[in-house]
Amino acid sequence: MSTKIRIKSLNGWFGEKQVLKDINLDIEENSITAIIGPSGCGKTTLIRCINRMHEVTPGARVEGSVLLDEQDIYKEDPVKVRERIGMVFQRPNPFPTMSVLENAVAGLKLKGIRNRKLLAEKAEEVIKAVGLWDEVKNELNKPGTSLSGGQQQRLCIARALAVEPEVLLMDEPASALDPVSTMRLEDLIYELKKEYTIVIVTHNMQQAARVSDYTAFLYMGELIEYSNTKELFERPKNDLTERYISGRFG
Amino acid sequence: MGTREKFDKDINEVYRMLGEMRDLAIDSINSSMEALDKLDEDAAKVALRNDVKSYDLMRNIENRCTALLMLQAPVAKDLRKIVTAMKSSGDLNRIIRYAKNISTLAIEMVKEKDEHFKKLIGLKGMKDKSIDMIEKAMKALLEENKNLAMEVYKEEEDVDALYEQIFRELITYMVEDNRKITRGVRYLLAGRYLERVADHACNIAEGAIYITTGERIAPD
Repeated sequence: MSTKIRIKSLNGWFGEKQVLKDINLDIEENSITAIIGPSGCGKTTLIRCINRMHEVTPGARVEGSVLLDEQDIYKEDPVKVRERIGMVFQRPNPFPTMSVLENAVAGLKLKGIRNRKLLAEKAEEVIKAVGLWDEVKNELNKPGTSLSGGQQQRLCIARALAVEPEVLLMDEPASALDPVSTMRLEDLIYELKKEYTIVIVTHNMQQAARVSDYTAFLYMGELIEYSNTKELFERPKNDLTERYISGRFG
Repeated sequence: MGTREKFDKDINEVYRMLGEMRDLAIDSINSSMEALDKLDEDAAKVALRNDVKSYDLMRNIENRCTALLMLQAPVAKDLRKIVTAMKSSGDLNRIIRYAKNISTLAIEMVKEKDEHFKKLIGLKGMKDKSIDMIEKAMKALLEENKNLAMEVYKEEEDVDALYEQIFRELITYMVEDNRKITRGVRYLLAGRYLERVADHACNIAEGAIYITTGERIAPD
């Protein structure tokens, strides 16, 4: 196993308010890393720093470095960075004016690919990769928003995969889904780690325990504890972690 | 009552029941050894009654722990305490079963109108040591005291040594006089049961260490 992402002395601000404080974190390639912590602890900001989306917010700024394969992403073109590091959001957000098929390859179209055959092939490939093909193969031309919540979220993952990223960031991807859709999504995440490095922000501790290999606990912008998931949930080293995961605060 | 308070209340109740099982275990060993020593059928029946109570307590602990696991999805020390409570209740129940086995040996001797051919000094030594181990292991468990738990491991060696000594001694008696074989085997069995009791006390001590540190320390 090698390090895919190396976060070094990362600090983040919204205006005057510092939301990330000196984060140092190495993320293993082809692993699932969960980021947990109470609301407002900086989880989402942290993953938005990993694909340079934090700086897009007015007044937000970042210091420190994020290395992808040892190259600092803050010294590269942010558009190229986001091609290599895809993101899936809390609420499924297929483009409402696009069909299922168009949604799946929206990223490729944005890159200027117009070859219909190529687009159709890629759409089929990624829709199959997220286990959605059998459910939607007869509805490819219907609006993406006509699918169920769980299907929409898998479509959004397919859309992220179509541009062939190396890393997938997921910001509470199952929080708007019912238990069955959540289970399917978790199975999918587990499958995807064979080819991708995954970082998932979750409020659901059982989900972190179920799907991730490593877990990072953030509290008030600081990284309190980071270790393999079994260790963190069975015998956390830090008292704050113990209290948070046992539901004594948060 | 908040979720957390409810959880604490339930887990405290589980550990209170474990304390009750410990009392039953010690009572059973004392009375079954008294039954064997004095060939007293009434004393023998105590362990038989305790076995029924202990089984109910063990099932009750198991049900409560299952409910806590299912409803609260505990982690960290909460999880370690639940897992350990389930295992330790099994250990205490086994200890009471071994006491019951000793009682059965006593009842058989009473029925057969047997008399002892020697004083049961070694077995009494094993009994005292095993009871001490149970008390210490349970105290370590309830008070989350690692050092006390480690002491239990050391005492197990004493119990093993006593058992070996009894074994060698009884063999000489049985070789000399084959009329002593049936009784000799019964003493040996009683020794074997007490040696197993000490082993289960060690398991409880191991649980105490696991709760306290999160580490599994296997005895040497």
